[in-house]
Amino acid sequence: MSDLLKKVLIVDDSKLVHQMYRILLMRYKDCKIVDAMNGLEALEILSREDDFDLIILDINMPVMNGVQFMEKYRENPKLQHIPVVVISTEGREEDTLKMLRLGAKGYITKPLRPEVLHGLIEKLMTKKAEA
Amino acid sequence: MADFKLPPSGLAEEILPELGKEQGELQVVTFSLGEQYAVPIHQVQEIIRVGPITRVPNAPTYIEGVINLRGRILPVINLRRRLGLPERDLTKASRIIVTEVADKTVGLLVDSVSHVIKLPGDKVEPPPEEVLDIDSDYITGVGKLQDALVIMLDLERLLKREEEVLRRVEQKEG
Amino acid sequence: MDFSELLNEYIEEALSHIQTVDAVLLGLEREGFREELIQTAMRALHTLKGNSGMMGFDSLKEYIHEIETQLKRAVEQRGYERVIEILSDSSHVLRRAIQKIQACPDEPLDFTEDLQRLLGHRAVESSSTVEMSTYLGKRSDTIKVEFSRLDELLNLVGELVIYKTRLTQIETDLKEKVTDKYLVKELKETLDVIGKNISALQEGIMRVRMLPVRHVFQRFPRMVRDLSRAQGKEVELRFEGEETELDKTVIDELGEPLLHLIRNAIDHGIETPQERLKKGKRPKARLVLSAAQESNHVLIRVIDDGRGIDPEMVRARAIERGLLSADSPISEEDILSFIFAPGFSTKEQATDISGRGVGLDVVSRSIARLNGHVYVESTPDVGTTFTIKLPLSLAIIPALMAEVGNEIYAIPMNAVEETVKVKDTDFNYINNREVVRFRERVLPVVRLDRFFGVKRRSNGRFYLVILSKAERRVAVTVDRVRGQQEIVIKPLDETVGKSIGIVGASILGDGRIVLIVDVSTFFERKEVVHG
Repeated sequence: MSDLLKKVLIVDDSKLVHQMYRILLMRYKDCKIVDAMNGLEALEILSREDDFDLIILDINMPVMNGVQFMEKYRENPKLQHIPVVVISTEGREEDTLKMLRLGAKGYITKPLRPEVLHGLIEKLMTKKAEA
Repeated sequence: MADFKLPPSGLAEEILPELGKEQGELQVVTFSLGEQYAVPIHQVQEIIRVGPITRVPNAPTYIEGVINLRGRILPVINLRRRLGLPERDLTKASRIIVTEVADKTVGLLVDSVSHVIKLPGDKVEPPPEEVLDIDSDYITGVGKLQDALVIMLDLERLLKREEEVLRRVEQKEG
Repeated sequence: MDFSELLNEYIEEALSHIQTVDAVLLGLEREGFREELIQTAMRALHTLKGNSGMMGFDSLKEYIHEIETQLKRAVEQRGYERVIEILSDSSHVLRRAIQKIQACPDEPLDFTEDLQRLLGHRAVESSSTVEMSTYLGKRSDTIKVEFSRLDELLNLVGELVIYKTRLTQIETDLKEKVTDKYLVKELKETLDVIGKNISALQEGIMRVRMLPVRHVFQRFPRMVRDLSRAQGKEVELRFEGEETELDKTVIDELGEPLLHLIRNAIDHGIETPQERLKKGKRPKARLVLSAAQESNHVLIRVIDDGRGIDPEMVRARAIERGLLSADSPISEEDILSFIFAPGFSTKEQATDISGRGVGLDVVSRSIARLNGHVYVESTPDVGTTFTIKLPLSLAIIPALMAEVGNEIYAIPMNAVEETVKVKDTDFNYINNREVVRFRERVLPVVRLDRFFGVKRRSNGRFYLVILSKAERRVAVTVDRVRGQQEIVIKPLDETVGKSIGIVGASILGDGRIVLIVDVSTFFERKEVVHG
């Protein structure tokens, strides 16, 4: 099902994390990766191009954090077809639930394990194929 | 903070049992201020009748006052005044919509509350150009129902605007 | 998973996060405490923690985790000095660690000592939890309780106090309607017992929330040493009455105003040893922090034996700043209080060391927020004493309930001197200002109805509430006085703006909200206040 994964948006305030996802995802599937440093930048990118297959979203970011991003995401019907995966971390369980309620499709917790990430993406892409 | 742990990964529907169907749909609470307005349901905590409101002297004019909601003291915004609409007396139908946005709980005084409706995503259009000036960017769209239009409000932006206005006023005074 | 190929990116980003922390530190020093600045630092640290974990630097990750924990606690307690301390210490440690990683990435990092230093403050810091001593037979036992739990308890007791008041009202109403005298008597007796128990409970919980003032005093020796050394001054710091107890919430808020007063004493009050010798003083100056309880109040003093404040200089500056007209007849005592007026001190006055040019008006305002006030006494060349007068507790205060038109306002009792009934004819105008003659003094009048924009019910007779702040008096008019009552202070949400003259709100037994009057507002207006 990983064929469905062609273009991914990564929203995180650390460039290092972007690099890391690049490594993690590329080893799994050769897809295009676009980086956004915070929620606002992600919304700007999404207003130009909405052909992403997945959004990977951090919680704690400057300018616009993950929860605030999800509030905007929820209100925009044009984004609903792109599943969002929340990168959760200890102490942010409440925020993670909030983001799931706002429409995120799944989450993984830090520290990241490649097989967990791959597993979740596989599930999400299967559901997408069924839909 | 949280006293629970999440498994290393999960899908929304595994974690949240209440989730399931309504995708691409927006649930909103509609209310009247002459025109029909709407706010997303997840920003609404509850809707209450108008009881005693304590006026706060020297507060901005759109602050109707404060109310006692089960031991909590909440500010109430007169939404007509806030949006620059003509004044109207309280009636039996008047309600306070208790909203929770960005960790703040604020009451909105409205003429009446109409319904909770589901608005399909394709029935929401961006606001017409004319209303899009800086001071009304809290209007996020216009929803089309069979017989009417509803104006969608973004409360977070509305409240943020308010803070800015306050700051401006205070700077002038200071 | 191995990310070692990302090492250079990691180091580069780590250094930029540390820079962010440094920038925040600078900002805090310059602008004073802004929560959003601290949030920025926390975010940088959090990202650095995540990245370090990902790169396999687990000990570094754990160290940062502990920084976060300590920071969060310090912020919660508003221990701002502590925030600075944590940030500046950890910035050094982190920079060193990253340099080490850069040099030899495979060598394990050890933070044992740094962690100990970070945690070592816990003893001083124990104000996060309040020690509660209970004596079981001959053994003494102590338990630690999260402060938030005590807060909840106090809130509950606050509600009880409110409902007790309500019950007493009901009892009064019942007396008129119920004929069975025995039953009413029994109700009254039961109510009295409940009332006594509630009072005892309230007092007990308040006492548990108390901490010795030592907790805040202890933050200053280092600062006094550093500041005086930097300015070539010799200062001996002494504590008196540091075991005097105050509510923890007051202790938490006290740090900043005290810091400004101490800084002010060293910067402006205390002379250099040479100067002191010339005046025939000991070269080493004495700075005393003292605390003492006086009935329902605690007095905290900052006493120095420096050059004192010259009233003529204060007068000249007040006139220069437009706070006072040149021909105002004002006593020397009153003149000194102008140093607390907004706009009196200027940024230029700030020394290089203190950096943040915070005026004494800020001190006055933050003490007013605690329902207390601050005043100054000074004798040129002998020294200066700043006195902070505070209520024992912040959460529940006695207040005078006053009616104005159809509204009720609560006036904190600590400012109320007395109330008298007056007639309109007792008022006069001097220089277009309304005044009233009261006990041989002429007092400025504030009409609460006009101040709050309320319509008064009737003309003719009404009440004067005489408010005092140090030597100053103001007469406030209200329609009726409904007596004294204990009220629980709740803050007003910032959405309502800075409603001038209002300091908070409280809920009465019948569910009605009353607003609490910010008494200090009436003393801030220029000149009017000098009665």
